[in-house]
This record gives sequence, structure tokens and C-alpha cells, in this order.
Amino acid sequence: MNRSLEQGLSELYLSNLDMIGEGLPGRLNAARSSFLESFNLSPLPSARDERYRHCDLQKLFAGEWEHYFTPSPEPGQARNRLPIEGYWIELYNGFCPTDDALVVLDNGIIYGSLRVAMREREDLVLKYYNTVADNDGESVVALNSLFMQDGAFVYVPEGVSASLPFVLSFEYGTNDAAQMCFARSLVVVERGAHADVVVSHQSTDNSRVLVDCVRESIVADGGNVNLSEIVRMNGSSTLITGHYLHQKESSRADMLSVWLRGGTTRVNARHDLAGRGCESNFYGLYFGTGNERTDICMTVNHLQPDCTSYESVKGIVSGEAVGAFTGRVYVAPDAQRTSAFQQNRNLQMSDTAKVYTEPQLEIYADDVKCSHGATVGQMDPEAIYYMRQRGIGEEEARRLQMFGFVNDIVSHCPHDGACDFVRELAEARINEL
Amino acid sequence: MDENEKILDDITRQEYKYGFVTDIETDTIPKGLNEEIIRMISAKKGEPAWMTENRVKAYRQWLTMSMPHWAHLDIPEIDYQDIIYYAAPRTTPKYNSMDEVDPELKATFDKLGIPLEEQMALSGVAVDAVMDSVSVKTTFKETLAEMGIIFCSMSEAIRDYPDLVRKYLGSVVPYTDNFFAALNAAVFSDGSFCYVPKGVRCPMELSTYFRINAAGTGQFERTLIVADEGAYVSYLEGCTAPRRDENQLHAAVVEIVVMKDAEVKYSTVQNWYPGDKEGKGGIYNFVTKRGICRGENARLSWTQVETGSAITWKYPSCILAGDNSVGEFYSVALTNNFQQADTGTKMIHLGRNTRSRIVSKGISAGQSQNSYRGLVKVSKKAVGARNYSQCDSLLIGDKCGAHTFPYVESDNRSAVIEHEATTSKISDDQLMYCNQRGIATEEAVGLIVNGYAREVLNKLPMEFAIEAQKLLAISLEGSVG
Repeated sequence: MNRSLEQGLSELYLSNLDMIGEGLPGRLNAARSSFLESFNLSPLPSARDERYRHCDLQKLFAGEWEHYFTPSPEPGQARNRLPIEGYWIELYNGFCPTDDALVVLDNGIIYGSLRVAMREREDLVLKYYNTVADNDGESVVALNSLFMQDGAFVYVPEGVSASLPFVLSFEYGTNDAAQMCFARSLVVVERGAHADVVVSHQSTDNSRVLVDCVRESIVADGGNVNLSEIVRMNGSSTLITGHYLHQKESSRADMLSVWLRGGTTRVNARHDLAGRGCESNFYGLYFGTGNERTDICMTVNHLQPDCTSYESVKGIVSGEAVGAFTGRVYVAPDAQRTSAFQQNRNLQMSDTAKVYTEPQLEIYADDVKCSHGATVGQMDPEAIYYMRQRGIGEEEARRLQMFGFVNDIVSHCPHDGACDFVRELAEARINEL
Repeated sequence: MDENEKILDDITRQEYKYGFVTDIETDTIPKGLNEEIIRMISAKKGEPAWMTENRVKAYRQWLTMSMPHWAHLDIPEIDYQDIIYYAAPRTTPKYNSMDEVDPELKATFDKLGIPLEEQMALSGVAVDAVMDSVSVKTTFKETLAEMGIIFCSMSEAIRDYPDLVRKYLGSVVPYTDNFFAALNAAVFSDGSFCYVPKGVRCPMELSTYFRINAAGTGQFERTLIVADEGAYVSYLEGCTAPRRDENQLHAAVVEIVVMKDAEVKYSTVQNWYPGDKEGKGGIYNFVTKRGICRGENARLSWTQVETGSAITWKYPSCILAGDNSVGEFYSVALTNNFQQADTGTKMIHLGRNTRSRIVSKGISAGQSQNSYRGLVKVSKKAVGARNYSQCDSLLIGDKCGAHTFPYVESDNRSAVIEHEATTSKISDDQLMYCNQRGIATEEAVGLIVNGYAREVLNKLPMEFAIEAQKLLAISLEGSVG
């Protein structure tokens, strides 16, 4: 009988247990057995699982994947780094460079390698680590927790406002062999604190890489976080990300995610509004050409009264690309006076492209204002006609319309410094379509 | 205003008024399901061999299937061996005038509010009244027959028009389609059959009343409507059921075939017994309804008002195969107390320039759960497909739930699909406005709900619209304050 994928991965873990846990706190390693258990209990979902209809993890994980338990040497070639001045944390294949030290600023801000942070600030890190991620519900998250060796850590203490953005730069490259990587990050914004965080996922070469990424963000009472994410992976890559955001009372989160390019991208995002009076805004934009697949699965949980959420995700797909969006707004019983809005708009540029959209509302409280909308369509021929009448060529007119379509998202970039850069990237991408 | 007050007054005092048992001897078979039972049902109905074989085939298929659990419903385990699959009034009467009808049976219909004579005179509606699965009376048959329209019970159709039935039965909902369709294909007891020939506009609205009577019997209706080229028919279906403590299963199948240039309007007011205020009893309404627009310019419109049943689980669907065909779905689903509903539609665009429109209004009150689930699928060849969906939910009370699960799948770049949904409660401003003008809160809620559902109610034929308005208010009884 063939070994199942799950057996293979479990065995890989068990036979490298010592190497994985080396230098990490004992109680963290002790907890791994429970992740092994939850991973074994819930197998990797296949397309038969309703939530993974457009992204078969069994297929994605199938085949031979190398996994290295030590940091691989960084590539020498020049990379298209984000032109942002900030507190940088650079990771390669999920690892920070071994000689990196944890940075502690005068105002109490701590950032750097998660591994080092766990060693030097064990109590602080473990107070938050794995408190938000869905280890029981998502087997990829349990898998990440099982194999986690390093990652990025950001801590902004009470009342502190970080003057520069934190830049979490995840880069992946393997030179040759198909490789599996685990990326992890933990962002903690304490009471009344403010932080800007920019996350980048980028391939450095054309090699096949499978990334299982988990990000936990915790915003305490009255905290405020701006989170941007820019994804530029190569066409043969697979990026599976789990974003977990936990907001406490009167906190606010403004988010922008731009999935510029990638092979297969799966996003599980969960925003828990766990205190009264939270506000959460999310803007997303994805592009699909060739055989790219983008599958975005977002849940916003209104767990307490008086919270507001807004989500807008737009996509442009052409070629044989697949774009899927599943959004879910959950309003818990007694989460009264909730206001929630969710929309997904798609431009379908070719007959071979596929668009699936499932915005969902699940509401158990009555004093709410919730709405959602979804559209699939093409560019407005009348608008193009209008522009052509005024001497704008057809190609240019189409481009202008697409610029307008994406600008709606890009203009909400919460970082002044990154805005122009993100817009340039998006416009360059449109020119390729 | 007076009219509205009267309606609300009527309804707020009522318990489920159709809860009574008619004491008519019924001819039942033993509980349970096996091949023998199926052959017995077929034999009792005097069916030809091909029909018996169809049933057995469906039963064998059913054995290989398991009950689906994806719906947002909490369904208690159903013991399919604990159901009596066939119940018919012992003697199948055939009458020429109303006087000959069993007085007890006549009284039942009167209590139901279907005075046959009056309806015949007033509205020109032909009523094929189905009681416990066997059609006992068909009216206006002669008028229809003159125009070549066939409107009869399914058993008669199998006997008298076997070619038509064989051609269309199972062509839209095959027995392999789903668990309940297979079950229905195996055990269906009776139902209605309607065939409108080429170029004929049916001059009256056809209507059927379904009614579950004998305790512990499932109702497995099978309806087949065929509108040939250029034909038009409007079909009404209404359901009421007597009060029972034991849950009863209703797994019907409705198939509609719409040919070139034809149009079918199918309207339902569903008011099966919803269970009492504690959520005890009630009907499980698991129905497969599907129509196909086979030819060009075909039109199919579903209108439903769902107020009854403990659990409602159905998706009246349109397969838009013909070019330029149009599918419509208008729905009001109201749940109160412990009712659950997971309902919506599927619009499958296959032909060119096909259009569909979905308007769904959900109302949840008490501790009920009300979900809209709908699929809009545009296939590769459906150039120029257009869909607009609007799904609104209204919440009354803080213990109920309203959920929206739309599925949009587009394989064609020329498709234009729009979906929007809103969920809210009746705003305090609206109530305040009514209160200021001397309208009590409960009345105001009735007014607002009727206004909210008007877009759908307007699509119903007049008699139904009035009944539906009343039903909405009855069902909301006690949910305010």
C-alpha cells in the first residue's frame, strides 16, 4: 500500500525531530506533538472538500519535495527589493540569517528572527505564539506549527508608535530541487500602540517551491495596525498562506494585499473582531495570467458588538487562469450593531479563464447592517467607445479602464511610502495582460 | 388600512388552522422500503412493466447513495424503513358532480379553503386536488381537452399517455441526480402531469393542492409539465398539511420542459405544517424542482412563497439550454420558531444570450435559521449570458439567523454576473414612523414585511397573492414584542 501524504510528512517530522526543535524552548517543542495529532486527525484537504474545491492540497503536496532543516545560503543575484525604508527582517526560505540578532529599540520595540526571539524572550513570544492560528481547523497550519523553526517577530509595546514600517521580506529560491518551505511570522501590537507592517513574498529564481506560510497578528485594545502584503512568486511556485488577525477592543486594522503573480496561491484569511468597537478594512487585488491559480478564502468573524468591517477584493484574470474568492462574514449571536460589507469584483479577460466567487453571510444577530456583492464581467464597451471617440487608441483605452479598476484598491494602500511602488507594479502587470 | 388590520388580526390569533385529521379509510402498505414494496406500489397503481422497472432501477441507485449533509440544516436522523411509502383513499372515486364526492372529503377541502365550485365559478381555475397522493377530482378537463391540453394525475398519464411520459419523465431530473430524486423515482405515489401542445396558450391557471393526510406516510409527489413550441401555461401549486407530532418526509420532484418560444410560470405557496412553537413535529420538505429551457426564446419562471415545513431544502432551478432563453426565480422564504430553511436556485447558462434573474427575500424570526444558497453558472459556450441576483434577508428577533451562500462560476468572458445581498432588521426608524401614526408595532411589522416581500408577491397570480400575504402574517405570529 502506498504511504499517504500525511504519513510521509509525519515521518519526515519524526525522523528530524531533534533538528527541528534544536535551540528552541522545551515547552514549544513539547506542544508540537499536539500539532502532529491534529495534523494526523485532519488529512490535507482535496478538491472534494467544499472549502478547497478550487485548490486541491493533496495534489499540490504530492510528489517529491525536498525540505532543509538548516538555513540555505542566500542567493547572490540582485533582487527587486521593496524601496522602503524601515525595520527590515529578511528571511530566506523561511529562515533568518544565522548571525542575525534580535533588535531592541529604546522605546521597547522588538523585532527580528522568531527563533532568536523565542530563545531570548521566551515568555513574551510564547504568550502570543499560536494563540490565534487555526491549528485544529486547518491541517496546513498544523503542519506549519509542526515544522516551524524560524520566522519573523515584531513586538510594539503599549502606547508606542513605530516611526518606521516593519518590512518582513520573505524570499524563496532553491536553485534546482523542488523544495518545501515553512514561513512563519508573529506581529504583536500592544494597547494603544501603532505599527506599519509590509510583508513581501518573492521568488528569487524560477525553481519550484512550495511555501506553507502562517502569519499571526494580534492587536490589543486601542491598537492600530497597517498591514500590506505584496506577493511576487514565480509561475511554478505554490504559496499557501494562513493569515490570522485577532483584534481587541477599539482596535483598528487596515490591510492591503496585492497578489501580483504566482503559480498557485491559496489564501486562508481569518479576521477575528474579538472586542467591542473594532474596525477592520481589507483591500485585495489579484492578477491571473497563463496557468496561474489564485484562491482566496476570507472569513471575518464579528464576535463582539459594535464592530465594523469592510472588505473589497478585485481580480483580473486572463489566459487560462483561475480566480476564486470565497468570503464569509460571520456575525455571532449578540454581536449587535455590526456593520459589515464585503465585495468581490472580477474582470474576466478570456474565455479560457475561470472565475468563481462565493461571498457568504452567516448572521446570528438581528441588529446588523450587512451586505455583500459580487460581479463578474468585462470592460465596459461604451467607456472604451467614449475614449476612442476622443482619440485614445483601443489598447490604451482598455488599459486606462483597467488602471481605474485596480486603482480603487491600490489607492487604499495604508503606507505612504509603498503606495507608488505598488501602483507601479500593478500598472506594469496590466501592461502585460 | 382596514383590510390590513383585518388580515393581521386574523392571523395573529391563529394557530395552525389546517391541523386536523380527516377520518377517511386509507389503503396503506407495510412500513419500510425494499424491492418488494416498490413492486407492490407499482402493482397497486396498475402500472405497466416499464414503469415498474424504472422504479426498481431508481431504488437500486438509491441504495448506493447516502444522504447529503452539506446544507446549513440540522436534520435529525431519518429512518427510511420507518416510513409508509404508499397511502391512498381506499376506493378511488370518480365523480361527475360535486354531490357524489364523499362528504367527509368535501368538508376537508372546505376547511382548507378550496371550495371547488366557487373556485370554478369565480376564477376559472382547474383544480386537480390531490389527497394522499391519489388524484380524486379533476375539473375543467373537458375545456382543456378541447384545446389538446392534457392535465391529469401522473397515474392516469402513465396509463393513457405512456409515450409522452416515457419521453419526458426523468429527462430533467434523472433518478441518478440526487439522493431524494432517486428515492422519489422509486416510490412516487402520484402527482400531476401537464402537456400543452404546440402554439396553445392555456386559458386558465392550472392548480393542484397537495395534502398529507394519513399519519406516518411520506408524500412523494411527481410533477411533470411540458410546454411544447410556442405554448404557455401558468401552474399553481399550494400545500397545506394537518398537524402531526411525528415528523413527516416530503420528497417531491417537479420537472418542467419548456420548448422553443414557450413559457411556463410555476408558482408555489408552501404551507406544510411547520411544527409547534417548541419545534416539535413538522414536515421535512426536501424537494427537487428543475426546469429546462430546451429551445430558443423559452421562458421559465419560478415563484415561491415558503412559510411552512420544519425543514425546507430546495432549489428550483433553470437550465437555460436554448439560445435567448430566460430563467427567473422569485422567492419569499419565511421561518419562525424553530423552522429551518436552506433554499435558493440554480441558473445554469448553456445557450447564447441567456438571461436570468434572481430575487430572494428571506425573513427569519424566532429561533429559526434561514439560508439562501444559489448557483449561477455560465458555461463556455454561453456567450452573452447575463445574470442579476438580489438576496435580501430580514431579521426579526435576536435569536434567529440569516445566511447567504451564493456561488458564481463563470467560464465565459462575455458573461455579466451581478450578485448583491443585504441583511438587516426592521429599523427602529421605520417602526417609530408607524407608531407615530398610530400603528401598533405588531401591525407595523406586518406592513413592513409585506412591503419588503411585495416585489415577489406581485409575481404571483392574484388569488395566491392574497393567500400568501395572509400566510406571511400568520407565520410571523407572536414573533414581535
